Amino acid sequence: MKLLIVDDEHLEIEQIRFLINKHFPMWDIFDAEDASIAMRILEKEQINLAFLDIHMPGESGLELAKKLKQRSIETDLIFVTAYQDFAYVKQALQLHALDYLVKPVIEKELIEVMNKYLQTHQQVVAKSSAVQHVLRKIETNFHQKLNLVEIANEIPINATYLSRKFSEEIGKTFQEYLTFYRIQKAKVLLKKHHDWSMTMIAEHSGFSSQHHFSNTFKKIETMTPSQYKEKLR
Amino acid sequence: MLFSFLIFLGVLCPIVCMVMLFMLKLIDQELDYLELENARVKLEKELQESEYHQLNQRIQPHFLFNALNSFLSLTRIGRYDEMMRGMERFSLFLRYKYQEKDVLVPFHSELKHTENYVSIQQLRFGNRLHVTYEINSLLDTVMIPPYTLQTLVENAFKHGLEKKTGDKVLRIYFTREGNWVCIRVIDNGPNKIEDHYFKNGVGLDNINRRFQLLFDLRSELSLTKNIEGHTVATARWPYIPGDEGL
Repeated sequence: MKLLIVDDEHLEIEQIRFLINKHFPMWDIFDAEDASIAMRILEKEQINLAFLDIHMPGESGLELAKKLKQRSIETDLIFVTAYQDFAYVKQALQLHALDYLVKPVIEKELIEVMNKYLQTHQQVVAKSSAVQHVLRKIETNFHQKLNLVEIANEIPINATYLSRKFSEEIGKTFQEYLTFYRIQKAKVLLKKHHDWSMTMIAEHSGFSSQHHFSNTFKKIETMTPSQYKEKLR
Repeated sequence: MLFSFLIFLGVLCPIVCMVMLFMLKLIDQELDYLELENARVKLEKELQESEYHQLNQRIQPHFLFNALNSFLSLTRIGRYDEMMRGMERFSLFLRYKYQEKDVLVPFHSELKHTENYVSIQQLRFGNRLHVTYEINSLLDTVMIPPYTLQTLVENAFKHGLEKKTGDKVLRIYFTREGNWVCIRVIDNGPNKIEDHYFKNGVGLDNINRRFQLLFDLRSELSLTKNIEGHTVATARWPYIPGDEGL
């Protein structure tokens, strides 16, 4: 996972670097103090996610974003703006930015944005092919019974080693991640199929019982699935 | 003969009296008018003064958030000494802002305020920001309208230095020129000089209006470009020695 921070203020780079390191210690972080340095890095590195300051002297973050999107459509963008730049935020989002953060950056808001990114991009986080294999397996088979030992045997690889590797690269244990993934899928199903019963939702998102599903959902989302469904209306 | 004189007098007297009465009324009105005019000027002056106090007490939100952001950064990455020094400077900056001030203050207190402002900016831009002061120490007690220097410096950041890539250079001069004193603030920003800086009631316009209000002698405020293409903000006003200098 490669991340790029572009900001003309060195302190801001240091700050975002620190916050990301704290929560995602395995990521490679590159930084640039202006757009031209950023372009040089982009030529060499396949960057997954870029934090761009909107207001920079010389070429602005918006102009850089346009160039960046032309080069590699896979790079996701998060804009970082000063509080008075809201006029630009609309433009920024039109460039298919994932989201934006307002300076001073609040840790919780940064983590929320990162999680938004990770929900759709777990695979890029994984470094080893073994962990990538596990993620693909989860993606295709989350509604069935899954256990890490079986997946390890498929590869084949030592299960204890795989388990440790997975936690290292993803930042969650296999079971934690699988549960999280299933809850996210359940939420999608709740949105999509209003007429489904909770038992059906539970079944299709890989939970062995409706009771287990409700409990887990409540733990992660701090509300019951029915409350969540109610909120969607 | 005497009779006709008496008749004449009898007619003239009331007319003269009437004219005098009429004039008295007019003079009275005139006096009233002058008093009113005086009161109006005084009121206007007071209004303008309270207006400029309000304007002066307003901290640019841009600056406020930037300062907060710098302190947060320094705290997060564990540079506590710098953070504490920054907070101290910022406290002094606010202290000056909210202090009751006379229409003129000694130059050294305005300079201190400006240095506090610059040190917060220095946190953001680090060693890419180069600031030099050239100030005759004999001028420390000279009187200056508050915020004159700090506003010129703030403007240099807002319209110039913040848009400059690479090294940002700021030079501050304070000199005496005969019966006048003169501040020059020079920055190497890429900006063009625009008229609207003098028209929006804040910043340069505010200094200009106060100069007009305070000084009967000539004063000057201007923005120009020098041969190097740097922006030069000049403020010139009559030399007023402070108490300590006497």
